[in-house]
Amino acid sequence: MKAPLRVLHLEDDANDAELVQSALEREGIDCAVTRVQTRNAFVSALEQGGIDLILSDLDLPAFDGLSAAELVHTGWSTVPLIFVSGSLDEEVAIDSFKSGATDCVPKRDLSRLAPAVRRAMREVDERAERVLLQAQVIEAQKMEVISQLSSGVAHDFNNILAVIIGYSELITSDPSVGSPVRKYAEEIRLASNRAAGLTRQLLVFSRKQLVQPNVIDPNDAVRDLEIFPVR
Amino acid sequence: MTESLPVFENAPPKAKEAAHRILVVEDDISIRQLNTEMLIRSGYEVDGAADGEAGWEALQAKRYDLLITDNLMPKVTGIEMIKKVYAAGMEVPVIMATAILPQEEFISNPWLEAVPTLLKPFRGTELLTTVRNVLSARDGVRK
Repeated sequence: MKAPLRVLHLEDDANDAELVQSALEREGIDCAVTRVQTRNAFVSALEQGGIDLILSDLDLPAFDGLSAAELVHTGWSTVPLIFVSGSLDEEVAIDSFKSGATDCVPKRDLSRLAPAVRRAMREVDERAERVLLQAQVIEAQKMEVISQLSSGVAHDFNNILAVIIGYSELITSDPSVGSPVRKYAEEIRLASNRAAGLTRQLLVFSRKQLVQPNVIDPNDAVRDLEIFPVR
Repeated sequence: MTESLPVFENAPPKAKEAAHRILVVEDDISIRQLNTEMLIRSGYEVDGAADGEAGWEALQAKRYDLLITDNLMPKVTGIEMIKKVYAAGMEVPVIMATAILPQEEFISNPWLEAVPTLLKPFRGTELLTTVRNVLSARDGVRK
């Protein structure tokens, strides 16, 4: 759990707010509390961001807890909200859960608050981990599709290159073909060989073909790139 | 004219009836024509088949000195066809000419290690050198 836990506390009674904070600190939960009493202050604190947990009273002079919970549920659904109220009867408790609250704790029994907070924060961590795992699975599936696609493209492209390379070889090997046609055909073959190198890289990427490391002369490799004669 | 081509200058000058007979099994018609053309120019007698099934039928109808086959083809793959050839006890040597030969294939078919393989796109000289080596090894065994 984060320390300090950044808590937004919707509470009109300063004494109650202090009691709540000390109940948490007694249980070793280090928290930085922002106390608000109105809807505007509540929303602007949430909009500023960085809130890990919301504690909320149910009845306030200028706002009410259930509306606050609905607001959180629509705009900040990943932030857990726990009601801490003096007026918690069964019916209110049911309403509070319906409104999307994570838990509710009566003010007269604040010893239940720390376990409720720990459970809420654990759920947040678990949800975050689940989201991360889902994203990783989606990413892995995407890579698999790209890999299949690239190996399919490489396969078909290699077949086409085989034809281009083969026929340019047949041209260059025919003694009746003179310069510059012979030279042009040779350039076609060289360019096709470079394209074949690209498809090999695609196949390596899609793990369909073994990598064949080769010792090369970098000067030759660069010279191979000069398709047109230097004038 | 054929004999004077530089790329194919080492082609064995053979009388037609003495020429080695090669079966090229390849579903891509351009590649089949190209390989056939190269081999014919080098003095071989060549037949083509468009997939493993047609290849198997051709092997049954005639005796060949060499089988050159692609792997990924409709109906019957090259590997499946070679398995049938081996199972039938045919003595024809094989060259695999394919764009992709995944490692998994070697695991499920360890005998592939012994099959000369040309990875597309290969050069005409690679094809002819491999053909010549395989045929001379075979002729050596026969003598």
